[in-house]
Amino acid sequence: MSDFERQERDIAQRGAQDAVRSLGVPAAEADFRCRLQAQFVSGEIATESGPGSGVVPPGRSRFLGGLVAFAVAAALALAVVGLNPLPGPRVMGINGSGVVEIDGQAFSTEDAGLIAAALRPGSRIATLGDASVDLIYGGTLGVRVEPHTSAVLPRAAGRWFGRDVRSQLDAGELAIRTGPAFAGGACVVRTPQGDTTITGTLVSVYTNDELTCVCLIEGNASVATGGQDLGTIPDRKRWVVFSDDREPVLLDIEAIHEAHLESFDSQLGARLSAP
Amino acid sequence: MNEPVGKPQHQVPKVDPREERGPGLSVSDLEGVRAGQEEALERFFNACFDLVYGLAFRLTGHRQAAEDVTQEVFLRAHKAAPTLDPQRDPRPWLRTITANLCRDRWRSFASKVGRHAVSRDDEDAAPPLASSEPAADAGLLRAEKQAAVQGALDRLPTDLREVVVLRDYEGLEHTEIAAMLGASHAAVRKRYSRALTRLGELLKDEWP
Repeated sequence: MSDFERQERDIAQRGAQDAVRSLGVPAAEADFRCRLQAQFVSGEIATESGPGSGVVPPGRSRFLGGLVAFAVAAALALAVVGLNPLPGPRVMGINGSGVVEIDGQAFSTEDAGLIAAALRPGSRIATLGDASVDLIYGGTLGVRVEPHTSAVLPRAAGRWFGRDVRSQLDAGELAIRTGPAFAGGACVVRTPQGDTTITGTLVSVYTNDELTCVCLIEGNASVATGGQDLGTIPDRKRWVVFSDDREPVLLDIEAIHEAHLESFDSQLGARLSAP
Repeated sequence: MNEPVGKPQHQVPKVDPREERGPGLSVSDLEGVRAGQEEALERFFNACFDLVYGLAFRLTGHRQAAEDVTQEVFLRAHKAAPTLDPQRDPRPWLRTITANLCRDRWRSFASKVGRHAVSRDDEDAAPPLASSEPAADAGLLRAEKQAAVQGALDRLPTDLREVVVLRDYEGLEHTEIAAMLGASHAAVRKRYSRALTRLGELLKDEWP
């Protein structure tokens, strides 16, 4: 090999090296990540390793019979799974100005179309500036993502199974109104301080480094923290749960916040009830 | 609007003086994983998901395959949790399982069928990559380049792809790769050099 050829090869190799090193971490589908996380944390993953669960046991695919059985089971499962989900989140309004991040992609609040297109069930959403986003999940849930919030949205609830959905609130506030199609389901909002289980209500969950505050206007929601079940929240009350060793406290909702939640309800509640 | 309860009377330390075991994982987290504690399992998952999915995606070049492998890795991790050594970083172990499962897929009949069915237009094969860049053009260009690099990687023979992904995407040393693959250090170096040469040629086609 001549010096020139060696030089050419070195340049090409360095280019290839740089190209692979510049690859970012690929973003997984938010729905897949959320589902797998829930299965891993609950231990369900260890009981759902049969055909149709998406797990491919090594070696199985070497056998044609196994492959056919898997394909048939998967087709049936897909048919049922495909028809099961109720509608996912639809953007009904974007308020204020600033930036909305969906699964790591940043959009201006003026790009409502792009935000709507990027949004998926189980997406991670962050609102910066004074931006807030109103979402409707068919007739099941109305959600307002308030400004300065970082959260993982619930996936779409199931029609026949998987009626319970989970959301994770890392900072800020989610206001939630359940709709007529939500009957029999539950929405769990997890914050660093505990879980709020919503079974039919108008509620808001707020969290920061120090506390979680769950405000209930009406309906049914309960709070659990550190293995302690605080029970259901009386109407127009709020549980405040702390990160430190202080006991949780039950307080009245502040008038200004009550008005804010009722305004949210008047804007989204009617659309939620509509067929 | 929701701050009426005053400042906390007792400050809780933000970070415990705990020894880290991988990104965001401490010895006590891993002990919690051993004990099957939900919060520890969640932290384990969040700390390791990108590593497993990212490596699986780069090795298989296909989203569905990467999801299958990721699910299998976490299934195995869950089963092995009670025997986990809290003193050891679990990432090398997860990386090895991921690479082994990807190799199983390459060898399997289903994988061959799947790979032949993939085209560059298949959105599963080259999904748009999440980017935090607000400038759409720059983001698009970057995504296109990343898709081109992934396309070139996909066209590499599997043994070459494996070694270049482990070296340059995962940042492993040749000795670590050799230990993972059960090959000699010299063999890995040679394979890596061949992989770079071939990849350089392929990139000329994919991203001239």
